[in-house]
Amino acid sequence: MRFIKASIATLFSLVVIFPIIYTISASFFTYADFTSIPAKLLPSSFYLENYVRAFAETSLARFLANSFVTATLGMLLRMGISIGAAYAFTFFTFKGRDVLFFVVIATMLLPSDALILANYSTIRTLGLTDTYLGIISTKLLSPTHIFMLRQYFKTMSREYREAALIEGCSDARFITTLLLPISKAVVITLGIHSFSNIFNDYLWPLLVTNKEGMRTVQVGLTMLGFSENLDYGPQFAAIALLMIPIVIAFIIMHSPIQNSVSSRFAGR
Amino acid sequence: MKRLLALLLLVMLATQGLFALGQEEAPEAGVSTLTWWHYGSGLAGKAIDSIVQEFNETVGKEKNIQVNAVFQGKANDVLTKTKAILQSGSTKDLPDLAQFDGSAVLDIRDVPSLIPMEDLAKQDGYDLTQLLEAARLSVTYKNKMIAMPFNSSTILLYYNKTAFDEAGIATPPTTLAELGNVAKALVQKDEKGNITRYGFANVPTTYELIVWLGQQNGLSYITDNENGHLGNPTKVLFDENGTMVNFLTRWKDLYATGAVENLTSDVNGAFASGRVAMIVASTSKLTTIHSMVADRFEVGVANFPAVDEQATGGVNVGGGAIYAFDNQSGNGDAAWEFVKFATSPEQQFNWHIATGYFPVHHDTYSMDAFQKHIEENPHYRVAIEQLMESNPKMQGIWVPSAYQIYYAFQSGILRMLEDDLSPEETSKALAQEINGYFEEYLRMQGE
Repeated sequence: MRFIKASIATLFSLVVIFPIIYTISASFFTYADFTSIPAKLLPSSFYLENYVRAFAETSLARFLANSFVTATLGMLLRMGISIGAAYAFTFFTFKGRDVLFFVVIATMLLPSDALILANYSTIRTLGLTDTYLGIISTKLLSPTHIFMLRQYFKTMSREYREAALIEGCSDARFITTLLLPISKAVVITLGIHSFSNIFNDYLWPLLVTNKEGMRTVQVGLTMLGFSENLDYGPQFAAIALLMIPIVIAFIIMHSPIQNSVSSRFAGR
Repeated sequence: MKRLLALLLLVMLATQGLFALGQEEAPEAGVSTLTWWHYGSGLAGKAIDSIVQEFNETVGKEKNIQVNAVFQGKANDVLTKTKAILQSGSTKDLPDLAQFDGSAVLDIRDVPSLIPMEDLAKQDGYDLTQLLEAARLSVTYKNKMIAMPFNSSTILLYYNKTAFDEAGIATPPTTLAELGNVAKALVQKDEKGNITRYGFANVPTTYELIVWLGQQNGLSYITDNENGHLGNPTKVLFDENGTMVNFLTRWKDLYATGAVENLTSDVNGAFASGRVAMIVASTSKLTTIHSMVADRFEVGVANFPAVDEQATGGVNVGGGAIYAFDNQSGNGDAAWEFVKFATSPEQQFNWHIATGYFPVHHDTYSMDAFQKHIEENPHYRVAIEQLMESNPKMQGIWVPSAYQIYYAFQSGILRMLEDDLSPEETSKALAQEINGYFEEYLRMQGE
């Protein structure tokens, strides 16, 4: 039985991990490797030229730095706003709360593509083109995040907070010492989601930046000219480099997520 | 919480440092700085950088003009970004020059900030006939050249010469009927009867149909208003003039040979790997396809096969052009200096060698270096001779809903082949669908 379980788990993880392994493998492919028949799984040699070219032909290091700064900053601010808003919508009672919540949720119906030109106009008027703030500011409000956090917070008994407040605990302290640790799984998951969402964005950062020094890595990737020249090598090398930090983040974060998910299931 | 704050602070500090790095040096006094948005990535990106560098060091230095080339993503991204600026009404943010492909014409041609390139050329007394007529007409709207052709290409037949030799085929096909015969001879099967090599792979879309419909009877228009070059198209003509039915009939015969694969993506890859023996692709892919194939087999190129013997129009010029904008900086003349430089015979020669786009300036073709180059690279000679023999009036289509029309052609033809529909009903259905897009657009424009 154990064996069957293990093989099923291995099979599924192989499916998930295959693209990652293939990307790393393909980053060492030569031009001919990409077009050989039958298709290759492993490179014919340890070919490093793709990495050299990825760095030599663009300011990849600079693009990577820009992406990390905007994604980290954007993620922290977005999570801060979402947690604060979800907390207020869950635990506070004030006039117009439900209407306000409904308005926030209704913005989910607006596709971001429809807003892109209006947003551009705003950012430009504010003089935020070619700044990190310009790149992240339209990403800061996420109704989905607020909604999910609120649903999660609602599963908590309100008496916890009342008891804490009677003991003289402030809202800020209640959030940091009690609420967030309990909601670790959802907060971390949404955090990672925010990070990769901002990190992976292409059109918006392209729109609000003109200086090469402000470009993010997704824009930098297209500079390698893969689609026009069918030159996949440097592209794969750059993607492989991009994956490393995200994969590490997942490895570090996966045990808190797993623990809290399984403990919640076990508790029920 | 403290740790979070510390982290935030750290990020902010790092941001400060990076901001400083992102700043540019202030431009020198008296120097006009031009911004040129382009979509050249990879090889083309490098070639663009070297044109700009040479300009800045020579003519630009002399005339106090410095060009700043900015890569703005794919062709469509350059358009999106320009449209965003136009809609926000802040024409000051427009670049002085921008490179667009044919799909942008509809959105850009009537913009008040656009400075038609012909106006700039005339102010300078520049003779437009120095440019290849086909290239010039490819950016001519209502009889005015609105942009400068820059990265121009045509469509070409690529074939696996090694496979041709093995099958004993001496000359590449010139018509669709011949293509069918040759393709049949090139098919290879394994012991189980599965096809391991197709003769030809293609599902026609706008790109191919501009040629296959347009070349019939010397010159046929696909839509009214001369394919949209004289104004908005109001209806398609391919149903009335019978070109679509004629093409589809021949295409159905070709498909019936069983040697054609209905491949819609990575056709070049299939060719390079040897799975398909013939494809049609842009001349700008010459360099790429050669390096993809490596020494797997010998590549041959030939004229794009004609629909039939009566289809004598040849091929059209595709690719992109440089547009000039008035961003209230008064850089129009400076912009023209650069455009003139970038399309000069010498620069167009370098550009051709680096990318495979063909030179748009007549004088490039008589340069000794160019003659020597096509002597040594007969493939380029084929591409260029094909263009020279073509009817320059044969032009691409400027239509709304270009994306939908592209897929309408593709899926319409696939449906005909798979469900065995007649060419007549397919042509009728396509005309109806595309006319619907035109009507919708005209209604939105209030015409």
